[in-house]
Amino acid sequence: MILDEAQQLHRMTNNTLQLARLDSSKVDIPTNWESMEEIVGTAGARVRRNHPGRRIEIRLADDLPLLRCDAVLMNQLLDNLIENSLRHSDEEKPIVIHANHDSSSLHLSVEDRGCGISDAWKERVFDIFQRVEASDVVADGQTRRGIGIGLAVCRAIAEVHGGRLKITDTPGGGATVSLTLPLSEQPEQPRELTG
Amino acid sequence: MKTRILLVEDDLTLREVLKQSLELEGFSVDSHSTLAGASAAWAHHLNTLQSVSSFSIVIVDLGLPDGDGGALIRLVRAQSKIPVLVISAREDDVRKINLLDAGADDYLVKPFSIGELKARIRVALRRQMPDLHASAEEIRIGSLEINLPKRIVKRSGERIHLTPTEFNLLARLLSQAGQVVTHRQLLNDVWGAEYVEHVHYLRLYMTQLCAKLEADPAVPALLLTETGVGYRFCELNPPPD
Repeated sequence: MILDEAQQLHRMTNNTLQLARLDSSKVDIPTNWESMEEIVGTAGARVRRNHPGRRIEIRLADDLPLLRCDAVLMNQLLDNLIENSLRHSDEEKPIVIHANHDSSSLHLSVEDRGCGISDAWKERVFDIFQRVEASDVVADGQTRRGIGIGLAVCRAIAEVHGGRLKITDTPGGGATVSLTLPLSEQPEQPRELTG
Repeated sequence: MKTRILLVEDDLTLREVLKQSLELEGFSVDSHSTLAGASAAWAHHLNTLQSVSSFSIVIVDLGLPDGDGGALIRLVRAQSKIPVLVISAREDDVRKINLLDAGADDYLVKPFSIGELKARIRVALRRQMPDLHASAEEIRIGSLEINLPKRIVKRSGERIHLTPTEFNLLARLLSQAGQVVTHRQLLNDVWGAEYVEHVHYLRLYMTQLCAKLEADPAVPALLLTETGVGYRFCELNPPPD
């Protein structure tokens, strides 16, 4: 419990610091070639460790290209989206992460089967310190913990990578947050060692 | 004889919690808040090797009031092979990687649990035992069998074909099972010094290895990613807590 609280506090502090950094006009992020399989796999493992009672499904397309990004930021984005989904859906409902790509973009989404979000809030939730009011919560209206900074950081992280975030309704109820990121020309392939 | 730990952490509360928790686990802990104090304790250690006051492991926070914990790590590594664990804040990523490349054995990012710290200490100390992994001709993890000298990998008795590079990468990770190996160390040891910046080689080969070795590649249990730092092969035969 203490570690949970410490991690929650750490996440909030980290989000606040990151937002301040990413908001500065000339932020220079260290990028490298990263694998979406690894980023999603690491996030999934963290959820299973921190929330053993929750169900998380990972559905990745085959042959996902490498992504040029800051893996630490991308992890933070995914952590925030997953924590958000967990917070706004019931214990027995799964969280589903999808990743696929087309010729120019990589698409990542985190889908929950929670209380959903009204159309009026679908853009506003990305603004800092905006929290959905109980009357705007579609289904159960429970009070959920958070200070309204996580999604603002997610959007800042997406934008600093040239990407965009949007929220749509999950068919059958719930919310899906989708991230689209531009793909770069893939690096040269290593030659197999002999012997 | 109790295993003796040199603990260097400037945060009084964290230092006391760590000291008490580790002492409850049966360790003897010599704790310090400054680089100067820890360096003096280390100098004493060098003069008393093989005695009851010599250390088996060093745990050091990077940010200390009178200097960088990295200075102590370099001092220890220049004079000894005992394990060094780094405690750091997440924003210390670059420094942390440099110190791992310079010889620190593993790291923990705050906040961490005592259980996690104990597991890292256990792995680091086990690696101190002579030839534990070198003598392990065949490693078994669940249904997976890895024969290092013969370069054969099987799952449930069925041979899995690994390319030479995939096997070299696997063997390098297994040589430090349970501990993080940085991107730079892996690229240097598998491909060579001129490839230490080619991180995409690792991404491609680790994806291939995961696809071949993991029961469910989307839920890696053997080949673990340490974001921004490197990779870790899971601990072999961890004892129950």
